[in-house]
Amino acid sequence: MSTSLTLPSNTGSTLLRSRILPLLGAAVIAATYLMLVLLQPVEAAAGLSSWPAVTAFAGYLAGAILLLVGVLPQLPPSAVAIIPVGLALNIVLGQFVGSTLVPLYLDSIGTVLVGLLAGRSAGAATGVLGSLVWSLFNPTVLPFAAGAAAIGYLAGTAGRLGVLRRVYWAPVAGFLTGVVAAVLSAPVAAFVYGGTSGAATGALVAMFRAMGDGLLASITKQALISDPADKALAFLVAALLVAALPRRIRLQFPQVQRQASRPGE
Amino acid sequence: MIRLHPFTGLALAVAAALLTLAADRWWLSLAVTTAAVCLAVLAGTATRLILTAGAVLAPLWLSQLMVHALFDTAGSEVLVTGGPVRLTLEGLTTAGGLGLRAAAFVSVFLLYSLTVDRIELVRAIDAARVPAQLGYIVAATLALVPATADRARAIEQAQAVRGAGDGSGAVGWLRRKRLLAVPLVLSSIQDATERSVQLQLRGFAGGSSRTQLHPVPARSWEKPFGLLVLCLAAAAAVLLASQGGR
Repeated sequence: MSTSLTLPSNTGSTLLRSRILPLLGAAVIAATYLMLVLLQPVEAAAGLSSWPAVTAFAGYLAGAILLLVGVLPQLPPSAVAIIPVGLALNIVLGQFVGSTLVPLYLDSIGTVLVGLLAGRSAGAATGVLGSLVWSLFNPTVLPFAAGAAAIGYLAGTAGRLGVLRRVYWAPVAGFLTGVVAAVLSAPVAAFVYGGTSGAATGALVAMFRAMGDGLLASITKQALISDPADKALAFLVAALLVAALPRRIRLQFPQVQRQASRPGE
Repeated sequence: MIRLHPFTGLALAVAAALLTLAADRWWLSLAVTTAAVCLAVLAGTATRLILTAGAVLAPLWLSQLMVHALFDTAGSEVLVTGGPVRLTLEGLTTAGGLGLRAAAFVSVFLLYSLTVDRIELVRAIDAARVPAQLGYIVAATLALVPATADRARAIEQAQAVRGAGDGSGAVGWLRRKRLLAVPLVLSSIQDATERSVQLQLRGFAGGSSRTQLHPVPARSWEKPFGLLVLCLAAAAAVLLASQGGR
């Protein structure tokens, strides 16, 4: 499809911004994670110190917003149009599962769907925007924006690697994405909230704590149990939903167009 | 109540949340939560605030209770013991402090969310120096969430009327969810592709260069006040966090 005739042309500074800001955002997120893991506080009997909470909240959120500001202007209109659909699906499906006793979240099907259809940048933007907009309904998701961005980015990468042509690889890609999401999100759950957002996941953390693990280690272990299974399911569902789309709709998205132009489709 | 510009309210909510996190004092968390509820009473949204905050906080509090108090192995003042359960005073204090901190965080943001005029918020984003796509996505999502939920209900009713999705147990549940999810996602994406043609034709010409018919009113002091509040909160957060917070 032709590009818009009314959009301004990309100048050198725009291209520079679209490259530098996402890299800067990713660097801030990585630095925040490393700082939290390397300098994690020793738990006193009276609880945790407060600097990790501030660092996790501000560092992850700032990194995610830098990523968003750099990525958003370069997205094609087809990607911008699909992002609200992904966000609405995240919220409608995530609020349902979040209130049950299942240790899964299923709040990222929309993000994965956008990543698979519209690519890595659109997936990462959907993750961050999902946390920002969903926080109007449930503020506890706000500090998890960086993890959500990683899920969208990795979904786009999986789509680029051909998951849509071989759907059986989708759960494997989801499993690996879940490991990354678990590792990134555990410091937020540990230091900002001191627990998880659900009763079933909280029971798993309590079990690891009773076995002698520290708070961050317990939450990371719980997340490594819940997240890979959750993301494997989300990737499989999203890939099957894309496969069920009529070809003429699928081909309107850049990632699918690239896949279709490759031999073997 | 004074009607603030959406960004001024957001700056106040972020500052309050950041300070509560950094200070980590139970009395400050309690004071912020109480202030949020009082303001919600004045705005006439107290019931919605309490119900929504309760739905968000109940599983989190349960998790914090299990993680810090019910199976605590470190605390010395044991209140209840039996089997794997070891409820200690120290654990309860930690869980209570974290629970209050989360309550303050949730209540200030929910107060903002329930009192802000969402249409004004979108127009303020549109007029600000941020990518124009952000305003479109926020506006479209806020409109799509209730529309998607309504569409999901309509699909469920249609499937029930035609007798599809019968069956009990996990298989029946999965079948019902599949019969709901597939048409819901397909129709939503179909709509999005139709909208993308319009967007492609018009582009995104948002930003301050475009004149708004009804600009969001902002008093002259609001912008410097919002920036000052954020800077002071950030400075206080750094100071408090570097001192350990407790």
